Order: sequence, then structure tokens, then C-alpha cells
Amino acid sequence: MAEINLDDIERFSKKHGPKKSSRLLSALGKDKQFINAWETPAGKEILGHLLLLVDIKLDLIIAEKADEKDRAEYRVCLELLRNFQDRINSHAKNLKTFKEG
Amino acid sequence: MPKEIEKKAEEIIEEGKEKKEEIKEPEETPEAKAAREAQEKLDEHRERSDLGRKVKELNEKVDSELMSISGKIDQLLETRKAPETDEFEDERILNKKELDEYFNKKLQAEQSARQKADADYNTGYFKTIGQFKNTEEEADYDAICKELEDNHNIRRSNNAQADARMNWLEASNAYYKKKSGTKDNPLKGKGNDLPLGAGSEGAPVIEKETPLPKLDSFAEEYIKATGMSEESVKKAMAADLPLSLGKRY
Repeated sequence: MAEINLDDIERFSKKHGPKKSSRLLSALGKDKQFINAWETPAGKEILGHLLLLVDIKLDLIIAEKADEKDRAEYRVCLELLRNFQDRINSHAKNLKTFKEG
Repeated sequence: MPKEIEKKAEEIIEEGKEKKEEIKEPEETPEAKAAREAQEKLDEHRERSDLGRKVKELNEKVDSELMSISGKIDQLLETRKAPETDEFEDERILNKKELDEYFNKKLQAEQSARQKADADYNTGYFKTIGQFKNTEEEADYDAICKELEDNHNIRRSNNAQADARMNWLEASNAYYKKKSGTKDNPLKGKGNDLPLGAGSEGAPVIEKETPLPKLDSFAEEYIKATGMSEESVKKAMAADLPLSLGKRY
């Protein structure tokens, strides 16, 4: 989703007040660096590796060839991905709130 | 046979009999006989006294049982109400006239019973109300009586005393509430008696200029990252607000 602009801020402030606008801008600022990190080549590489690892471990688990270590790695990777997903979703939600009021 | 011979024969027979008896039962000495008789008397006396004790015990037992039973019967008679008997029950109705008379009588009896119950209720009620005269001042008592007559004279049950107490309590509560209920409500707006719309004479509305909330470092970073300036954002945030939100910050 595209970032917000001045019109969005003005519209949102008119509807909800500047205090809420300020809080929402702060929340967007907190998540922005994290979102930006995934857009860098290094971030994309890390995410790719993580996804690949999850894929491999999941195949092993389905084929019933996974040992305890494989299952533990799968759980850790999945937990990390869920955390990243939550933060990305939160940022997208805040942007949507700002744009749609 | 001559009589002499017969006599002799009888004598001989009797002698023989006596001899036989003498042989069977040896002769008892008078001392032994006295001892035996004394022993027999003693045994008889013991038996009699035993029997006497048993009879006495039985008598006492029966008496106590009877006493307890009679006590229970008395209790039952006290607790149990006498069954309502219909005094017209035994009359035999033979024609319509008698039937009418029967119903009239019954109706009258019911009415009189009801009137009596009402009279008893009223007497008890006013007697109980009268007792409160001792606990209240005369003026208060009269005022509470008036309040009672106006608003709280309710028949709740057939218990006149309980009704009177309940009604009196309600009436006295209402009276004292009215008496002490002249306090000003501090929450009621009191200062400005001017009608609405008389704006020019009322107190001037002071518009407070509230400062904009400060943007923290994250917000500033985000603004910079999106290519906006801080001033322009603040300007956008300070846009006119709807009336409902004007005084919230």
C-alpha cells in the first residue's frame, strides 16, 4: 500500500483530531524501519532463506522423515515468520486507517 | 349275711387300708411338719410379693403411657382447628322457596362474618396507628396521619397490625422526606438565569487555543521518510475540527 500524504493527514485530523493523527504517525514511524528492512536486498535474502528452510522442513515432516531437530527448526522459523507477518499487517492496517479514516 | 359279719369285714378292710397308707407314707414328725409349713408360707409370701411388684410396675407403666397419650391428645386438640361446620348443612331443601331461603341465609351469614372481620380489622388498624402517637410529636403525628390517609392507606393483608405498621412507616418516610427535602441540588445550574439565546448579556465564551500535540521521533522519522516537511504536517493536523471535537484537546 502506498504511503500517506498531506491530504490524508488533513482529512484524518479533521475527522479524529490531531492527537490521534500524531499517535498514528508515531506507530507508522515505529514500523517503517522494519518494513524498509525487508525491502533491502539483505532483507529479501533473509526472508527467502527463511521461507526455503520452512519449505524443506515441512516436506520432511510430511514425509515422516523429520527428526526432533528438524521439527524444532521448523517451529522456530514458523514463529519468526508469524512475528514478521504480524508487524507487516499492523503497518498495513495503520496505513489503511489513515487513508480511509 | 348277718350284720356282725359285715361289720367285721368292713373293719378288716379299713384296717387294711390304713395299714397300706401307713406303709406308703411314713409318719411325719410335728417339727418337720411345722418347718415344711413355715417354708411353704415363706415361698407363698415371696411369690405374692413378686407378683405385687410386677403388678405395681405394670400399673405405673400403664399410667405413664396413658398420661403421655392424653397429653398428645390435648396437644392435638389444641392445634387442630375445629372443622368449619355448615350450620345449614342438615337442613333438607324440598322446594324452590326453601332453596332461596337457604341461599339468602347463607349470604347473610357470609356478609355478617365479613363485616365482623372488617370491623375487627379496622379496630386493630386504628389501635395500632394510635400507638404511634407516643413516639411522634403531635404536629408530626397529625401530618403523618394526613399523609397516611391521602397516599398510604392500603390494605395489604388481613393482619391489621402488620398493615398499620407498614403503612405508617411509608407515610412517615414520605413525610420526613418532604420535610427535609428542601435542599438545593448542587448539580443544578444556578448562576445564569438568563434565557437561552441571550448571548450578548451572558458570560463571554473564551476560546482556548490548544497547542498541537508534539510529534515524537518515530513520527518525525516517518514524515521525513515519506518526503513531507514537519511544518506542512502540523498545518494539515491543525485543520478545522468538527464542533464535537473542538474542545477535546
